[in-house]
Amino acid sequence: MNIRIEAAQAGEIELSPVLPSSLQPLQIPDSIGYGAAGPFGHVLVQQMEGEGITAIFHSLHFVQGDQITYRSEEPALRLQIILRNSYHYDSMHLGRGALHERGISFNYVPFINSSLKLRPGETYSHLSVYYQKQHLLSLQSSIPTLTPFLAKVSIDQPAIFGGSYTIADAAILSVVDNILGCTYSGHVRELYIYHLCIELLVLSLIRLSHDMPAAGAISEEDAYHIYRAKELLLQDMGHHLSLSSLAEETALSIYKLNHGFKAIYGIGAAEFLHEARMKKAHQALSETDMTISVIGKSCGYSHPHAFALAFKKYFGYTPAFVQRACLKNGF
Amino acid sequence: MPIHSTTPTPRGTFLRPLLPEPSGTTAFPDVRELQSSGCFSSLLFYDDQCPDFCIRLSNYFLGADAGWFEKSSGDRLLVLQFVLHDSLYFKLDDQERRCMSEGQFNFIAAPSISKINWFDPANSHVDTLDIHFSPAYLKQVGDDFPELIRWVAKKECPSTLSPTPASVTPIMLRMLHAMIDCPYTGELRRTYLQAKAAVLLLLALEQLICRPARESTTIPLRKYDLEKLYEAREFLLHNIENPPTLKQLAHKIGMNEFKLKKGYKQVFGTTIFGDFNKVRMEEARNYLLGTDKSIADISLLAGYDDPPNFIRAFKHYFGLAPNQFRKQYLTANGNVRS
Repeated sequence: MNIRIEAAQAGEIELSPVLPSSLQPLQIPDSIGYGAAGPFGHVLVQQMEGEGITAIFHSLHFVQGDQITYRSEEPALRLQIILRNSYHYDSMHLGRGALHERGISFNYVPFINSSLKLRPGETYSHLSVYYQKQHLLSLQSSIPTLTPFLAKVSIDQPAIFGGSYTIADAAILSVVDNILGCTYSGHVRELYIYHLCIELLVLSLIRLSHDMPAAGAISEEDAYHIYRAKELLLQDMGHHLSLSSLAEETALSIYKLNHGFKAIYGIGAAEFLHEARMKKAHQALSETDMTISVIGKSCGYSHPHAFALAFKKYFGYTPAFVQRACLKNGF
Repeated sequence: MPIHSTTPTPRGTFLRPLLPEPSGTTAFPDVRELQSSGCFSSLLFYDDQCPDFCIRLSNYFLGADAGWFEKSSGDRLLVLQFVLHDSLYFKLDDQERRCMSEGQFNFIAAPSISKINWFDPANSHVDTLDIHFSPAYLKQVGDDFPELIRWVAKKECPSTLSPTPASVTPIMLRMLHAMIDCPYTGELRRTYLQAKAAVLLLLALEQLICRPARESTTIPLRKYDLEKLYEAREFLLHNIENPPTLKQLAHKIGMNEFKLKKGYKQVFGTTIFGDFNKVRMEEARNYLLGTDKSIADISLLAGYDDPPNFIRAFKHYFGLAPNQFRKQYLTANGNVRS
């Protein structure tokens, strides 16, 4: 994929296949990375191939903030998943709009020309997966709304599947994690990425074709307050941060806080925190040798039994199972 | 894939579809449900046919007189089998009986399906998820797993890819559940399951081929556990006269019984009872040789309520009954007390 990025202030960003040393730690193993870093901040584009499907992970950081324009001559039939921050875009084909964290959109453009407004000092990241038309043809029989979408694609007209975007659920996010965390190399890697991207396509199309509650409207400023609240929640996972103290710290009302979380993530603040705790616990169980009760405590459960119950309810298996499986694998 | 099943009953088994099979070749056959009943109570199969593989969820609900159940078919068998509930005992042709317990899986190949599943004990409920692959499909992944290709090429006798079954990892378990609970139909279902099964195959092969050989009998012990085990031993040796039960000991030090038993043996090389017995017997010997207390008194001191039990245990440990032991020692030392 040949992408050019131009910033209003920093000028044309030269993406180099040899990553600047500051970006190397961010590199996904076995991916093809293009990056640029400088006083302006950094841009990192990492490409993963999977038998005709290309997944590209973008990461952007502009110290001063900027307005950047993405350009590519090639047509793009793509699934976009926003992983960090809100993307306020102005696309030549799709018009203006905003995609918030966890937003997913499936669209087609004959060529890419869209600009993004980036706030100073914030990091933005998203995953774009580029499919071929053939991947969609067979799915038409199950998803009728795909037919008019594909009709537009075949006459080279821009189109957004489902008319708007929706919010990724836990299943979609876990596939994204698996794609980005793929540890294989060579042909197995391609197979793995390919099949995960197909799964991602199926899950996303179903979610987009159902009348999922469209992402609620939220103003740019409010969205940033919510992201701040999220950071506070994630930092303080072991403690019992109350909604009211969170509201106080972020200068939002409890009502706005809850509705903001709902609008962006589709779930309330409490549920968001619970999800984050469970994921953190899962990671700690598989990557460290801390005991279950210590991990439970670090996630805000004072009693290991309550932690194990909540864990099992969320994942379908116990914390001990994760620990055993990871010890067996030689961690 | 047609499968014939037979059981020890003269009637044999009949599988009949619960849903009429979809006619015509255009419609993708969704799920074919097969049900069968016989001496083993009932069996339920769900079939998902995909071009490259077939996914089958089998639920065996077994009655009191269940014994064995044989599956056979003329087709070549290449199956990745996961045991989801209880333990499955099986035999491949005339080879010895094997076992896979809940959460384990292995890849099984045979020139034709002739696999016997045993059910032990009766009145159990065994669930398995089998993914039958076509040899052509496995060839695609073959470049990266030469062991797999070599194994698939061995056509003569039935075998398993790994001599011991591997255990499912959390990510695999999530995938298995997602496959079983797949709510989609038609082409969507096929695409989804195809993607899932392919990834599951890669993960399974990684576990079966690449996983480090590791003894399954050892359990992982942390520093904290070790401290607990030493504490347990200390406590045990100080309470010989009033020995705690295993449960009490486990409760006392705050460790579950299984871990206590296994960990104890792993760390100290003997079982808890073995250790405890050794101390009791050494103590009894000291009393026997150093004092002239009666055998009944000594048995009480060694923690036995009943002298005959003590005598039996003593004889078992030293090879001589306590009174003989004492007599022999005294004669050997030429110090005969009346």
